[in-house]
Amino acid sequence: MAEQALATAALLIPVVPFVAFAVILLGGLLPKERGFGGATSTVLSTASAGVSFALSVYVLLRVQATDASFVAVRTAWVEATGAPDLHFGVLVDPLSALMAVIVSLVAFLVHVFSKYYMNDEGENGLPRYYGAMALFTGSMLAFVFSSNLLMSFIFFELVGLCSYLLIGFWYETPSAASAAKKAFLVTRFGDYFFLVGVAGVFAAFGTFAYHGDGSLFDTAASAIEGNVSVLGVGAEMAVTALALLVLGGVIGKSAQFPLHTWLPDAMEGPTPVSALIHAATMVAAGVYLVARLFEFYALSPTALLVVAYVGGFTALFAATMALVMDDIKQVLAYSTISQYGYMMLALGAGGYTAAVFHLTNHAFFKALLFLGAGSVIIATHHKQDMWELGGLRRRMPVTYWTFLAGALALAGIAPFSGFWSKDEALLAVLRNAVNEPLLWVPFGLGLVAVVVTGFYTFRMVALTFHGEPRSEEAREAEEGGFAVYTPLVALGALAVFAGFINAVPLGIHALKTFLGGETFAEYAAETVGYVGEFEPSTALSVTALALAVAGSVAAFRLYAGADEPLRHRDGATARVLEKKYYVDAFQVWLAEDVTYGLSKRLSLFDIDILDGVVNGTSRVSLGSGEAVRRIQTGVVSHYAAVIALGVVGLVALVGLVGGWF
Amino acid sequence: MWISLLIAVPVVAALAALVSSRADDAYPRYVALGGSVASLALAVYVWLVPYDGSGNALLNPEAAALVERVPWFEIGGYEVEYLVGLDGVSMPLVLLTTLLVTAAITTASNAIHDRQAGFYALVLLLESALIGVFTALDFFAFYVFWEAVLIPMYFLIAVWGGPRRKYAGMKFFVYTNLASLVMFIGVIALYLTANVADTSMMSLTTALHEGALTGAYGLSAETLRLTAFIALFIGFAVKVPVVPFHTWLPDAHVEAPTPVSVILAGVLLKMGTYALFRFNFTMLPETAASLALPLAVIGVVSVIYGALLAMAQTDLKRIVAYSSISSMGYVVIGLAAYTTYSVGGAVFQMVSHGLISALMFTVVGVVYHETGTRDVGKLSGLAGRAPLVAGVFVASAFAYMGLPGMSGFPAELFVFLGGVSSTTIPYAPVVVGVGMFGIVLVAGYLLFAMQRVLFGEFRVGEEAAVTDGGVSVTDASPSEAVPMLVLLAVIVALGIQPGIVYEAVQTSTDAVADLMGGGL
Amino acid sequence: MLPSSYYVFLSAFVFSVGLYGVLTRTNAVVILMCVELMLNAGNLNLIAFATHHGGVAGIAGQTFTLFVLAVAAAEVAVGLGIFILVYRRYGTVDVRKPRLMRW
Repeated sequence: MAEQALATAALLIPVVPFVAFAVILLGGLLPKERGFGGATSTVLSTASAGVSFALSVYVLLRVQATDASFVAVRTAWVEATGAPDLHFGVLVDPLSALMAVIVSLVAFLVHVFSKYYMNDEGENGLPRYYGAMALFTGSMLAFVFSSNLLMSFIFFELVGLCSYLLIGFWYETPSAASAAKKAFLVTRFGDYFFLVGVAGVFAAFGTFAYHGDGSLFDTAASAIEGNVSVLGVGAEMAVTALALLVLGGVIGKSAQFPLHTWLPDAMEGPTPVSALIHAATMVAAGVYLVARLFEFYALSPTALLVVAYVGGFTALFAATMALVMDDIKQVLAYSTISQYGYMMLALGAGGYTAAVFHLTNHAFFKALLFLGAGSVIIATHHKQDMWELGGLRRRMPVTYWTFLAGALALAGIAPFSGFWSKDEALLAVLRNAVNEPLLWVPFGLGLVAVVVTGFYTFRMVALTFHGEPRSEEAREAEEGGFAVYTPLVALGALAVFAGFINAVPLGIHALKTFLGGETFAEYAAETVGYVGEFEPSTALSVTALALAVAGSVAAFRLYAGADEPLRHRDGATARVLEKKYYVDAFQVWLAEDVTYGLSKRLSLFDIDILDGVVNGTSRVSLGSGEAVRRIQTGVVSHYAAVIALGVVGLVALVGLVGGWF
Repeated sequence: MWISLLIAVPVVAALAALVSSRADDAYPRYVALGGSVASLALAVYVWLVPYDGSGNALLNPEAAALVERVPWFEIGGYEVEYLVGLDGVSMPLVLLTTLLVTAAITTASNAIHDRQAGFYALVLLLESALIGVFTALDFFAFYVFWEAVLIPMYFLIAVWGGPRRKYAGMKFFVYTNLASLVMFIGVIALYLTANVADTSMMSLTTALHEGALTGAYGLSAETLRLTAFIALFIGFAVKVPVVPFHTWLPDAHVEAPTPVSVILAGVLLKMGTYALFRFNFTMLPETAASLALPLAVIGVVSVIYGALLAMAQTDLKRIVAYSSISSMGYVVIGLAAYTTYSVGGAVFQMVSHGLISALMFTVVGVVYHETGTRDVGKLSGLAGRAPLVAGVFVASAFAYMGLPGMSGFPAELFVFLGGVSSTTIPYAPVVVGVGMFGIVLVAGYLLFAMQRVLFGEFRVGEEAAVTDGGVSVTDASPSEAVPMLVLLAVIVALGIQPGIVYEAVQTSTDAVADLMGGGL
Repeated sequence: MLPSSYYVFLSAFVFSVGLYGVLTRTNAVVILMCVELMLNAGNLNLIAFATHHGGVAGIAGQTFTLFVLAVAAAEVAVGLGIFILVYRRYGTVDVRKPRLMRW
């Protein structure tokens, strides 16, 4: 009975926002007089997120209590007669229950904040905004509860669509339309590999299931054990290849190097959308997928190493770019990329709990930072350049203090949440680097990124809130009301306290126990020889904390009193950072010069050569007709001569054949 | 009786439309609309009630539903019959035909102002011939309908088309007619050597499968089969069209009036793949399997080449035309892969692409009608002025990209799932994987086109900004909105629940996949 | 009686003369006369073989000849009529002038 209620609740969590979306969509199709406007859609979408949040909390508590892990609803999407069916299912387990709470909570708070950011600013197209938000929330929740890889892919794609709609919300601004396009296109490029991986998984193992007997993981593990040949290669090789293909989608959505370029551009969207994308939905989807597929990745040491390297490299790579950004949202964007790098690093090093832990903490403090930035942006009438802000702590105390909590969490300073999870992530890498020396490199990258993170975070805090206001708008900033405070305070509290759910140095393992992190670690120990248990390291914790504090303090001292733009833009390093390591330029070159250039050239080939042959055939026909018709002179004697010659010729021919001569 | 009725209703409506124009110029449109809706209703009724197909009509003559068999004439010892029937592949295509013709006729009033009676009559005759093509089970009946399609189509392009309509119409007619001839020779060669008593397609299939084909004209049976296969393939490939036989298509699309483009992309291209499925892949499976790699490569090249070409275009109709070539490439890949999902997916893709391309052409037609241009460089910011058009444009573009929740996704997914696990195509994961890159390219050019046309500042033409009084651009009228929304609803329905059609499709496609290994 | 081959050779000679005339002359009336020569060469052949074979075949040969004569007369009438029209239109009966049938 309780099981039944749990299943129903889990099913309803994604369904409710989908229904809200459908209602808003149909309302939009009605004629204006009878349709409904922004207010109704605001209420519908916000309420649906709220309901989903309440249900998610219920599901989380039930799962916690009963240790449930089962596929609640399983229904055939496609019933094939000669091949395995394709299913939809709702997988209820600790990971999905936890993620559902994160997603729905952040979504709900973002909805509340949107009332301030969108409605109160008198934006047009609110039904479009809230419809897309509801679809976004619903798709992400459905993705979270996906019980198989195909379903994950389906909602992964829908999440991408929603980001397109929302990033391009202000479609009349060319840069917003362009950013939306870029976001979809770059992630689509990653999803291409994902889709090849999906098809390959089906071809290799005949199932997509995450759970139960004959699941994808079991099938793959036994294939490796039995040394079976799949897809024409050894099972282990096939698993590695498929895992890396799926990773393509993850790299796209989670904005890892080299497909990270869409994320900073995506700042063109409304700030609440950025908060949602970065904290709980689109970007989180990638890392969530790797966590979901951890048992699959843990079958291949190579795949895990690649994950760790991508993560470690991205963590530092993105953090360095955050150092030179002037736009507050850009700093946050690069910090998101960097933080997801940490999660990937942890997963690659077998730190399943650490990754999910950091995902949780990051969701809260990053949503908080974005909403705080949104509060600043509205208060200063869309000033985003930090050199035009400054001194806001006096005019916007609530925003300041909550933002500071988020910043401390992001920088990884104890006891704020980010410290605990980042520490645990690095711990996992450290412990496994002993057995797998190749992990030392990403470990080093991750450790260096700690100091960089502290620096850019407090550069941002100092420039935005400290010093003197550097513009008229900043001097006259007015903080918003209830719709601003509620989400900020709620998230601020989480940024402070969420870390204690798994504070390893303090001996707290609540999250690990809940997630069954033990099992995953042991699983990785069995399959790829990772360490099953991570011994806490005081040295590491102290080092990481010291590095974070050092970076933060340095930045604060350097920037807190800076009145004049302090721009060190002469060096080659700064220029490279400013240009984002030329990765953007390279991709633009790849898309515009290589691909589009090729298509232009092919077009000429098509017109001149292929169509030329077709038209040439007709021209030859016409031309030869033109030539041959010249024998029709119109002179009767000529015709008569031809007839006579023909007769002579025929007689000669008959004679030759008949043997007259 | 039912199928003959399906074929006859549009003919009767066509005649009625012609006669009615004597009374009033406005009548033919309503008569045609009534006739097409009646056909659609009849097709839906046939599908829901009397249709009981249970297998592949060619492989199991008992499986076809509603078979009608009337002796026609005898030639050279062969019985020729009027033989029609429906199975899981032809039924969805008949439904598609009636639906798209109805949509085309509904939206036609914008594009067609002259000689309306003739236009509507020809569209209805075209519908009748198309239904005939999809239901004929005797080769001669099939061929008669196949050729009959060309005649109204030629006039529709050459009379009601754009500035270069005569060129485009002639090119279409000569190109496809020449291809039909090549195909005809191939089929006749098979009939003459396969030792059959009548010209039904079932007899030929059975004879070929039982190895009745012996060498003739000094050629071995193997060579003969290969030659016939190639002749058939070229004949049908022009219709599909497959690169490099595609150059008639962009010209025809650009010049054809919008409703004709809808039918051309939506239904006519499917004749090619339908015939490939029926003849090449059902009748000559061994030959097809032995040629699976080159066939799949042709499919992959069509996908990538078509997508790249679409990227280079600036005329919206040309973009959609080239992307049709790209989409039809997936059908060829799916057929060549010979697995349950891939062959079923190939047929599903025919239906899905028919719907999506029809929707896309309709939207482009509305844009053209409202703004007077289809050049993406001259359009900007339509979303603010015509939100419904922009919404449908975005929806159809995402459907084209194979977004989940729309029919394109299951169609392409099935082809990919089956394709990667194919046993007929060597290195299937690599070959099909390369073809799948089309999903990135299609996103590329459609997103670019949307950005240019729909977003940014509102602008039409060369001027920097047309103020409110300048160009009057309004949103879609009801006669445009209703068919677009209906098509979109069908696309979404099939995307969410592909079984609506796929269930019937696979009764006929599984048997074909099983001819060559099957699996997945 | 002369051998039949004599008649055949004579007929061939007359036919060749007629053909030469048709091909080389430009005056329509002369061409028409040459056509008459060719027809009569044919007639000569028919009569010669009719006599040669005798019996029913002979009767048939003579009948054909009569038909040819009648048709030739009609042909001349029609032909001359055409020439008159041509002459009115072009002012000449030179067959090279009316080139309406040209490409």
